[in-house]
Amino acid sequence: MSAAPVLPSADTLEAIVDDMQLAMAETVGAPASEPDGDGALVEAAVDVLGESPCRVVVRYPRSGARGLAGAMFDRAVADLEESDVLDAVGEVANIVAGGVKSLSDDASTLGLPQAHVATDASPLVLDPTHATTVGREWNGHTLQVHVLAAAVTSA
Amino acid sequence: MHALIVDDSRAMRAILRRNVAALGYTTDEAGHGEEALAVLRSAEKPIDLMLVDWNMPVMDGLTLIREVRAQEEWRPITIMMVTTESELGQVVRALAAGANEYLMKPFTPEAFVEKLSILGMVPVEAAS
Repeated sequence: MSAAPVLPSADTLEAIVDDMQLAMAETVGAPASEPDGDGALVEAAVDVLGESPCRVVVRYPRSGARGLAGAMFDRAVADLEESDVLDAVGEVANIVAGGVKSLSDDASTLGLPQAHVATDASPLVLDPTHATTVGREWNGHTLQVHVLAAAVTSA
Repeated sequence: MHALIVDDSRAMRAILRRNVAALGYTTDEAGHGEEALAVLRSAEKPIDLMLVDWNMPVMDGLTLIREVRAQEEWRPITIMMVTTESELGQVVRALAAGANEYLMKPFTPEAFVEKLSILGMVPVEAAS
């Protein structure tokens, strides 16, 4: 029988996202400002596997994600492939998941990032007993970060 | 000085490439451990520094480091893990496997240079 899921508090998740944003700002600078696009979201997920498994999901509007990818790759947005954009948001999810994982026991492991473009903004299960959610403005777009209990992600 | 960057994220490889290029390094890249071993076997320039992620498909970073340290001719290579794995136990495992230093993501450019400086891997001309 697995242990009950232990999710980070909103304050803790805020701090993890803060660290990621600050380091990214210092490392890659400010992404090019991209206008709002078609409403599509880039969604990336990384599983934290262990006694308290959970899934970290990052959602960012595709227009913002293209600017972010341009900054990370140091390339003009027009020169990016969609796979570049997915890779960039996947790495953001990976960094946040590393912060979440550090809250749990040593035996937990990280899965590999899975990223895709969501053509609709289908809502995640946001029952606060099964998820911690943070929304943050980042370069003019809203970054959503969710940590979902494994019981929710397997539904 | 020549560096091999091993990370499954091409975006992270691009960031690391810029950081080491600013110090005067040329680079090769690999997306996982097996690719890295292939690069090492065929490298035209000797590799001075490896930057290695932990979680990668095919062959992870810890396995890669053990493979590298098992080969006499690759033992002089300085290896720094650059990873989101931040627990003390993971750091100890990486160092025990043969990593020389450990840098946690997210990192700042200053932290990156500081770690390489500790290792003596910042070329004099870049440090001055």
